[in-house]
Amino acid sequence: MMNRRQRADRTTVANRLPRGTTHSVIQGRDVYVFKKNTEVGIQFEIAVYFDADEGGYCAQLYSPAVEESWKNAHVGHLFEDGVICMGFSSMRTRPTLEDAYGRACLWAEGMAIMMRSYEAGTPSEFPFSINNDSTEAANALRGYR
Amino acid sequence: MAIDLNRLRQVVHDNQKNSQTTPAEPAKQVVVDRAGNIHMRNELRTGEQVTEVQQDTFAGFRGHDE
Repeated sequence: MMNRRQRADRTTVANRLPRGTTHSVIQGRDVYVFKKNTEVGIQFEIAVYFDADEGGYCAQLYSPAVEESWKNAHVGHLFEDGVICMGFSSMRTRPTLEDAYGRACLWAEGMAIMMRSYEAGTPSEFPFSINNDSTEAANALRGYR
Repeated sequence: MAIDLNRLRQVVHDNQKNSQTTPAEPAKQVVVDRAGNIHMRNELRTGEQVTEVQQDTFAGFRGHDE
């Protein structure tokens, strides 16, 4: 039987997330996976789920693969386990599934720009945050293959 | 309609510098539709169901997250 949060999440998914969003239960968590195409043509697959230990909703990158050196809170704004760095107060989570979805979509657009700009030979830092670490970003972008 | 990524970047940076996580002006609000596409609120048709994107930075500043 679903609790109140689970029912609210189902409603959010039905009304706000992409129509092809899938649901599965992984290690006791309800996990919703959606696909998002970016403006520069790279498709992302991202999972959102409530993490009781973290006290909120995480968004975790499933694909595409990201260079390991970009998995840095001040470079690709991504943790080593693929969880997107959400921001100032909670870092790994947002208080609602809808918030996590919105932030994950903006993050995906930024990561896609990093990937395309590197492919074009003009590496770009993550474009949607003013607190990148320029030194770490330069090193990470140089190491991207 | 595709969003202007340079303009989006400028709006997000301006809002972050001014600590406007959820700005009141529609021209400064970033939203996501059901397909995952990003828009500026003022460029949407009225009545379209969207999610507002909160515009704080994507990581804490040095000293807060280490």
